[in-house]
Amino acid sequence: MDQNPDIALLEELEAQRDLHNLNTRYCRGADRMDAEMLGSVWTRDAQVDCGAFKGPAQEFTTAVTTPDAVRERSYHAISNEYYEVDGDTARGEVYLIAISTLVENGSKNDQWIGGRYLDTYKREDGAWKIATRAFVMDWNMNKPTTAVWDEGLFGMIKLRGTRDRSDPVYALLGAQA
Amino acid sequence: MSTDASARIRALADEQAIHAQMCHYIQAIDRCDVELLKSTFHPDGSVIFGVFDGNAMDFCAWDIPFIRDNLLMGWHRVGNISIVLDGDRAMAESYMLGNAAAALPAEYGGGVINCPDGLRYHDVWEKRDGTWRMFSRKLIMDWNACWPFSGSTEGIYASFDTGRRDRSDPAYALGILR
Repeated sequence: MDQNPDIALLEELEAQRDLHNLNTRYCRGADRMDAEMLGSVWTRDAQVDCGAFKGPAQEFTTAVTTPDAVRERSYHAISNEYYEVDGDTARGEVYLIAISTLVENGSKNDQWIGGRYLDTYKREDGAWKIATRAFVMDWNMNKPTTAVWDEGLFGMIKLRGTRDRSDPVYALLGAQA
Repeated sequence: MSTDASARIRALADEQAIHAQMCHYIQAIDRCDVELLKSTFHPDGSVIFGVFDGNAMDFCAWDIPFIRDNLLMGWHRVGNISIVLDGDRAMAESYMLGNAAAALPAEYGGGVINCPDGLRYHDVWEKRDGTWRMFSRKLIMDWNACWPFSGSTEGIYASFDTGRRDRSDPAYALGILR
């Protein structure tokens, strides 16, 4: 335990920053379908409960980073990050709006899910990791896809997100992505 | 305070300063404040937005009239801010979940559409003379939708104060925009 109260405050701020970065990394790993990145956010024995999946986080990672015919893209936008840090453990609530495009019965639909991650975190080997994550759904909205990719203003935006390592974020952040 | 602690505090302050500038960027485009927008870039900065690629100051001068002329409303919400510091440089990814409305040209059937969009900004930031500004910003499109506009100004909606694209927006009166 550090005796200097200023250092203790500094460590608290750094923990809040690190937990924020952990959650942005989770979103990036999920949206890029990067098994290594998403796999790096968990403690060794982490558990996930998100309704359709309940079990070890590494199995969850494999499941959501394996290409499937239904989910064409995803966008995990988080906010309202609230963390309570207690030494090497922490609890948190993080709001999520997840937008996905689903290919179902030959048609494309946009799925919006609003909800919260209810988490516990642990510092493992000096780095903050998610120890348990439970997802709570608060609302959802489903609409036929109306995305425009090739015309108008949207068509002019030539840089596009991908669900693999060709996404521009890897060129930007390199090994720190 | 030890040298190590000072460096750690400075890192937090640097991240906070970049975070604040990302908010200023959004304030600038939503309020159509070209001077505020310019202040978020270095003069030799650049953008790759697809709708405009080139010098950042030229982009700012082009973008504000472009927004006024093409969007009936714009509202940008930035999140997932991820900053990697490297001395007086930083790389950053952020997510922008926005909403905009536009009048469709007659050849597209006319009418008004409402377009939520999920984009990302990929930036390089530089601290020069103590101030963080963007050296480059790229726009990445992940998702968008084009729905018929269903906004209303009647009933309860008539009671709200509403955002404006000039200095009459309440954020200026509050003093957080100047």
